[in-house]
Amino acid sequence: MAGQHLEWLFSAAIDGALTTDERRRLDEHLAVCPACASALAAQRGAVEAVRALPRPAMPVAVVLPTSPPVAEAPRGWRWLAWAAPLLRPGPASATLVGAAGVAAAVLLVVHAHSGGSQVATSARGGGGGASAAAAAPPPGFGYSVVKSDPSRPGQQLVLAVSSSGYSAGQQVLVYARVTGQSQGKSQGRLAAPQAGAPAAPGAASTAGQLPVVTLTQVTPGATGSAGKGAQAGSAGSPAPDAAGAAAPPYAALAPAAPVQVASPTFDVVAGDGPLQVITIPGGLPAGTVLQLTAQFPPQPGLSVSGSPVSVSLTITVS
Amino acid sequence: MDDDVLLERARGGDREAFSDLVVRYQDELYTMALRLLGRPADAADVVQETFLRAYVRLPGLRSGSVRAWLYRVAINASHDMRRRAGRRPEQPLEDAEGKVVDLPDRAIGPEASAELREQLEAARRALLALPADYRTAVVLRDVNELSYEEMAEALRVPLGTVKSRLSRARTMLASVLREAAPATSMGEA
Repeated sequence: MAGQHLEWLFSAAIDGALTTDERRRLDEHLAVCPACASALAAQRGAVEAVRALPRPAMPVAVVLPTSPPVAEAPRGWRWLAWAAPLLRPGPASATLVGAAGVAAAVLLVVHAHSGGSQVATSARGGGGGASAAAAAPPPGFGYSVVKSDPSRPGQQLVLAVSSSGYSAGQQVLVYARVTGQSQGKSQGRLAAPQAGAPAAPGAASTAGQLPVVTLTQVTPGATGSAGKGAQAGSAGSPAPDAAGAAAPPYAALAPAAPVQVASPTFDVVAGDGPLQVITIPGGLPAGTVLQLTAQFPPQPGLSVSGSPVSVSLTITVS
Repeated sequence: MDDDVLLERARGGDREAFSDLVVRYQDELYTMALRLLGRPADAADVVQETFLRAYVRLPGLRSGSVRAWLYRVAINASHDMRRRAGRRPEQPLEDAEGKVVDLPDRAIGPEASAELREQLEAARRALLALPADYRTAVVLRDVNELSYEEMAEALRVPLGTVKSRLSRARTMLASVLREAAPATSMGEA
């Protein structure tokens, strides 16, 4: 033991930030205090281990609004307050995506990449749209499901999100697409404004191809068994109960049958395909089980008998 | 083009200038969030939220370092994410069939020696064992290599607080590592 230990100087010593006086004082102390010498070495080793940790790149695209950054506060938006200038209120009677004619925000997509020189170009290196082999969701969308429709040979419906649990009020990026068809033509920096009426038949051909995504409530609160697998709905009116009415009091819901609680508020087109943004309703208690469903979109000229094929993922509110 | 020019252009309504800032900072912010939170999916969400928040706050931004400002936004987003995550049960990284449902934190490549991998894994875990403020200090300094001044700006604390917090954090980090691996002599002289 050589006087007072100088542990409080270690950190600055590791950063080379000691003054000349401090440096000399520490050196003199270390020469006679094995405990401090050992402790400094240990701390230096710990710091070096942290510094050696890998530094992975952002694995998914960053999505930004294309609206210029001018602050104006629309009313009625209950998403996170800071996002208010970005977004418009979602349709309370959310029957179908964009069906109410809400001008969905068109977003700017900035791609994850490693090089640092390009923005929002296709990860697959071309503007040719989807390939039949691209059934896998992009990185970051690890919670996914894929299903084929016998009446549409070669096509698969893919639905994916990043997690099986989200908190109430959280926005969720939803990857939903039909592979094996041409869509997502916009591979450039700015997403094409195709989000205006993605579910409207007869709109631009790409727009009509987006899967119809809905979020329904399965249980009111406590964790329960969720209805796995395909949830059949009719193509035109997937939510007979909740749709058309004002926003339901989510916290008070105890539905006997699944009730639609949200639909996407806007869409984006990333290089890898379409993303849709859906908001978990605020006020849902933890443990509420929701079901995220995507349907094959209506296909012009193809009369579908029976219920459209759909896929579902179970999401638990945390 | 330097940050301030890009920022000024973005504030003037130039979205592409802002997207250049995204490209410039998304990776280091992702790394920061990953080391703060431990879960790649959460970290990616934090980066997404950071740039959305930054975007809508552009008009009201006062002058200062763009980098420190983005870090501050990202740190706050990470705190929010941690609070949310704290309320939910730990989620498995694999589903019932053993399929990975999360992004792998691959970066410790297969070429790394077993000893090195063990050391890195120990460091990663030790970081996550630190209290949030200490963890943030170590991550900002030793992962993201912010200067003391940048840390003070990002954390909105005085320079002296940065130094003392970092000092305590590193002491605790060494202690956690020592306790985690009593058999190995981490950092012996």
